[in-house]
Amino acid sequence: MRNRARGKALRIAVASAALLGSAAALAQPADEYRVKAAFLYNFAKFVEWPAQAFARPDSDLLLCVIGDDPFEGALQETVAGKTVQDHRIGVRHIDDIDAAGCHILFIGSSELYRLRRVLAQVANGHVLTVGDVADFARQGSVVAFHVEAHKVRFTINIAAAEAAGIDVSSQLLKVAAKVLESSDPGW
Amino acid sequence: MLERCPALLIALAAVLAALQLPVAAEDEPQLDEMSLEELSELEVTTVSRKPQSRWTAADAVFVLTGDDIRRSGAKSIPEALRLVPEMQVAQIDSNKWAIGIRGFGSRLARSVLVQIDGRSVYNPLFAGTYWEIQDLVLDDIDRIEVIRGPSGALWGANAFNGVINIITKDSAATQGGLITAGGGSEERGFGDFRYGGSLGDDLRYRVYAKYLERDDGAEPLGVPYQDDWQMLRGGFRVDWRPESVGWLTLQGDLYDAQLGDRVGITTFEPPYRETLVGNADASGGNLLGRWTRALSATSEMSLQAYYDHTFRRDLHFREERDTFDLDGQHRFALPWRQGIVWGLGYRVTSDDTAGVPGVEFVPAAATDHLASAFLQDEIDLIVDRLVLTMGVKLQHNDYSGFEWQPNARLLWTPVVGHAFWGSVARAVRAPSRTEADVRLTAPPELDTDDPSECAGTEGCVFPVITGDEGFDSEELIAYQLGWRTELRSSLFVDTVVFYHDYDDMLTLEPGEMSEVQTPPPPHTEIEYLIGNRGRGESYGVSVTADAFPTSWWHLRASYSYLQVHLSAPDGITDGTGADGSSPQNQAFVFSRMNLPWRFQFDSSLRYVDRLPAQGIRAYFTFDVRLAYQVTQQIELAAVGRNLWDSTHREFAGGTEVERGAYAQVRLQW
Repeated sequence: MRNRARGKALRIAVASAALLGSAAALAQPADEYRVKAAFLYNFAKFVEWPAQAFARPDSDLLLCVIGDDPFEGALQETVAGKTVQDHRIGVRHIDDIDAAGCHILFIGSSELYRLRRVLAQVANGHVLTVGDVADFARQGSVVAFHVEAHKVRFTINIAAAEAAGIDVSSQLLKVAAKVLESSDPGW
Repeated sequence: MLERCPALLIALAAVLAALQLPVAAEDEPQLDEMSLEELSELEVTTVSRKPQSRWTAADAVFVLTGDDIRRSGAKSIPEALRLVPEMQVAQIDSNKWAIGIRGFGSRLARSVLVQIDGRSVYNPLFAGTYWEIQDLVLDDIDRIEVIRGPSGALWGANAFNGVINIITKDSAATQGGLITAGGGSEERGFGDFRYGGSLGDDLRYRVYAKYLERDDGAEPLGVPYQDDWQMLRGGFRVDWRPESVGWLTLQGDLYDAQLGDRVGITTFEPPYRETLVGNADASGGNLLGRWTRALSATSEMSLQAYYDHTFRRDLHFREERDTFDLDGQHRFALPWRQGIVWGLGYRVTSDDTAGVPGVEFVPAAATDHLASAFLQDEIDLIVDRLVLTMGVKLQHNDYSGFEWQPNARLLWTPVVGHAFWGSVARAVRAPSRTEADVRLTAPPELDTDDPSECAGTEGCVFPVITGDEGFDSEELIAYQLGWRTELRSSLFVDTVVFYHDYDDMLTLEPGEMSEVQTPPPPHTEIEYLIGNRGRGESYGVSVTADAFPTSWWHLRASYSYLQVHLSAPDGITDGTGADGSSPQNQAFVFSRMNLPWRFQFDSSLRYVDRLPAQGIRAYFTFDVRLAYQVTQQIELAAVGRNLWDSTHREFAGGTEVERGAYAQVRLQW
């Protein structure tokens, strides 16, 4: 009987330890989308848009998110009050594929089914398209994120950048996990 | 088997203690000041925070993500469903589960519609789902959406107490190779292989193969049971997105399983009962094609067709079935912020059955047709504040004729962080061939003093459960209210209250006694006619909270309370058996931790209340998973399951669930 009671107490102790963990803080990994938001801000710094991409020299640089927004406000927080190349950074959420005025377009996995239409819509429009699915770069977005061993990495598609008429700095290419020379190099 | 439970638990405790190294608390890093290189080296958590898709639904929707499934340590779909609020998942034996939503758990989950990528896997002969053969490479599952409560308007008949939609990933999301292999005490061995590639610009594909072998459960009282099993399956999916055509998907699976089984059958000579022990065989395959095309920015249509073949030979019964199904759907916008979805569907299903004497369908083979049409209108009454959804489904089946299933739902989001919804819906469970055509003979009651003789004065009387062509649909009218709230940015609470009003529920009514010649020898039988004389209600409340105390830790807690009361007039038996087989209280807590050095530690604790009609006592179970990402390609995981007790029973008539553990390696490139 005592043995059983002890066994039960032990089980409860182990279960609660496992479930509650320890209050001690561990080295904290950062939230995936806060990191991706910081990346987007950095992209704005390391990509050059032609002058005609802006209505006026001091127009906002518009960062758009199409479809489901996974950032939950992290994007606004990251770019609040920031400027790059004399442009303040604005954030806009769009549902329809009309991305007019956007400089950076973040395309989440909700857009898988209409990716080609989204990309076609912004083709030649000086838009830095950033996909949230690794395969998007192969399909024609300029940048695509993926998570590798708990780290956010990205692929750059040079052909897509050229087609979009934007300049990607060599620093960005250096950090990229993969650089594609064309859309779909095949497996 | 892990007999030495204290040793295992102590080892676990040691692992836990070792992991809880006190590390000095760091300030949240200033991400926006970091360089690209620094960002690239930052460890991130990939938990999806806001349950997006269920946040704005006027329905009790719960989404189990691919990550949820992987980190639960589940190796099958029924096991993954254990961590869904209001779901009842009880393992009957190693290869059988009793599953229900809001109670009504039964071997074939008769009141729940189950679909895999839009293909119904609901068996129309017995009305239910053979869970053991519904399997996939679990890594290829994008999500499992569970809708509790009737959603008859969109999904059609048998979406009675709920719907389970299993949705696999797009081929574009499964590019590259994946091998998962491992084994343990209950999972004797398993291996998954998947490879995804591309052809040209627009085409992505994947192929897979999977094998598993599972140990038998604990045998009560030494009765031989042999419920161990093995299954081999393979399949493919192709997604083609040519610009001019839209999106085309073609997918298919083939499977073959040997399932250890033990069934009792009736003999017409003494001792009137016989137990068969051996292997059941199940095999089948399916092929599905879907074409989705955007017609404009606000309109889209999709066409889907599938063919499905299943074969199953139990020890006492055999069924072969072919199903062909065609569905079309169109969504578009109308003025005054209306979104319309409408669709048409047609299904033809053909079966051929054979059974031992005493188990038969009359006729043995049949072909049934099902035609349906639905219309739903979603109206944004006040932009971002109030959404009204109304829908109706009209269906025609060969048994009960026309059925209509309307519903109305309202979603109100008065302020950021709060969503309130309410719905009223009518749903039916259409008759299955069992209720119309079955003839199932049970053994006669034996004298308790002398088991070689029959009880009673009339001699041996064989009860025969007899189907009735006049059996009508079971009906449910459901009222639901829900509240979802974001208490802080790191705490979400989802609350649902429901009342279900059931009518025309399945009953068994004693009929005439008669002398019959077949099957020989001549004997006396009493018919028990299947009817619709039952009625009743169920009600309950469910609260689920998701907390993110830190960026690397996710906790979820859920509690569900349920009352089911069904009754039939005097002398008639309730045939659903739901009353004492639905747990009154169920709760679970899980914890997911992303630890330093690429470790993950996950655990869950569940409580299930007693089931008086099944003779099942309340039980706890406890699972843990420890995973280590060795390199970008390799992950090692050790999983312990059902650690609370060495064995426990979850449902009547099978074996006991044993404590178990397995190890697995996952290779991805």
